[in-house]
Amino acid sequence: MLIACQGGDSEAFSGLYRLTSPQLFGLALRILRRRDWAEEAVQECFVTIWRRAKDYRPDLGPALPWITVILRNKCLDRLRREKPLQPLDESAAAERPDEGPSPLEGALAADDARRLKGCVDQLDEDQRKSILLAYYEGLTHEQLAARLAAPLGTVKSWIRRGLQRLKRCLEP
Amino acid sequence: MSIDSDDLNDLAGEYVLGTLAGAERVAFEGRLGREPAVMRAVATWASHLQPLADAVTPTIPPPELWQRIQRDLGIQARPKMRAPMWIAAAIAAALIAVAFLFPDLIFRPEVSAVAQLASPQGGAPAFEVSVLDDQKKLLIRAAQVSPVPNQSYELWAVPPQGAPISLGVVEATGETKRDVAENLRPLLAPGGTLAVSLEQQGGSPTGAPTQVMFVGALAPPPQ
Repeated sequence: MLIACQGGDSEAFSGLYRLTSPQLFGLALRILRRRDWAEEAVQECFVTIWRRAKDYRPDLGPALPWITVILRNKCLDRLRREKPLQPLDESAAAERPDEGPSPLEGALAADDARRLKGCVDQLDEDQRKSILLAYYEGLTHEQLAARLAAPLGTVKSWIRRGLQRLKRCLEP
Repeated sequence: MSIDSDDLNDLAGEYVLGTLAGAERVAFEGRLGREPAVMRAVATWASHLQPLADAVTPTIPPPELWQRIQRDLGIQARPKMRAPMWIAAAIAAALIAVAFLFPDLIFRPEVSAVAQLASPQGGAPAFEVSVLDDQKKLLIRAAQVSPVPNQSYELWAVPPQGAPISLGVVEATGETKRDVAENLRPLLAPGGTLAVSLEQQGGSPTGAPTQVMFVGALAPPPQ
């Protein structure tokens, strides 16, 4: 479908939107926790997909992960832009609906999801927590250090070591 | 593996995770546009972490969002063909003739929405669901789906908020017809989300989907 978009096929683009927007909007809501921001992130994401469809390289992997990276980058841009206005304070964090440590604990269990969950479960608690917080809340190293009450250098090494262990686990 | 490629993998992982920030991120994005090895490393990490994105509960965006995207891009996804009046009249006449000969062809139950349910990872649609008769009935066609021994596929309506609601077990081959309880009909309007999960034989033991396999959004039927 994305390949057809490369050729400027707007019907294919509309199909791509119908197929992927619920999942992308769900992810944007999870990261941004504001409906208006999430809508804008999805909007910017699809505008970018249409304009950059030619950059997508099918030989490097499926389209959805490529799209997800674009969406998350839009979400992160928004978070980092708004950060000075909206300091992340603990009372706001406490009011958040508790979705558990990660939606990965939930229903989805395609083969690759099961594999990733198995590898995430093998990480140390600190590594797992910081990687999932970075993914689902878009926290920077500094915000993670504040949230987890740990020195910046320690948090950086949790993330780096955690990712290295994930990679070794996923690509044995 | 060389020190360089270890370092590249670390950077790519942090880029996809989002913890690479500031000048480092800008520099990395510059390389991403130029160096095939960087593109490959990012694509690999993007695929590795994709299940995290798939695990989030899907939510249907408001219909205006698609209109805003079209407006931003100056595209029209469904160009309206304006046929001259005489063609329209000829078609109408032909339809009336066919209706006398083959009433079943014309007076089919009215389809108010359709959904193609496919794996979030992509691929051909596994099930096609049509919503019929004012959302009172569903017709579920198994398209590209393999039956799994001793397991059942179950169809779910996924509301914008709250837990998925079962619409019953569906056949992995051929067609399944299903009456829809009145309180569930509003979930079957265009814009709603449907999902199919893989369950033990007979359906989910918990009332919640066990393994979501296929997802799709309801859209107005093609004209």
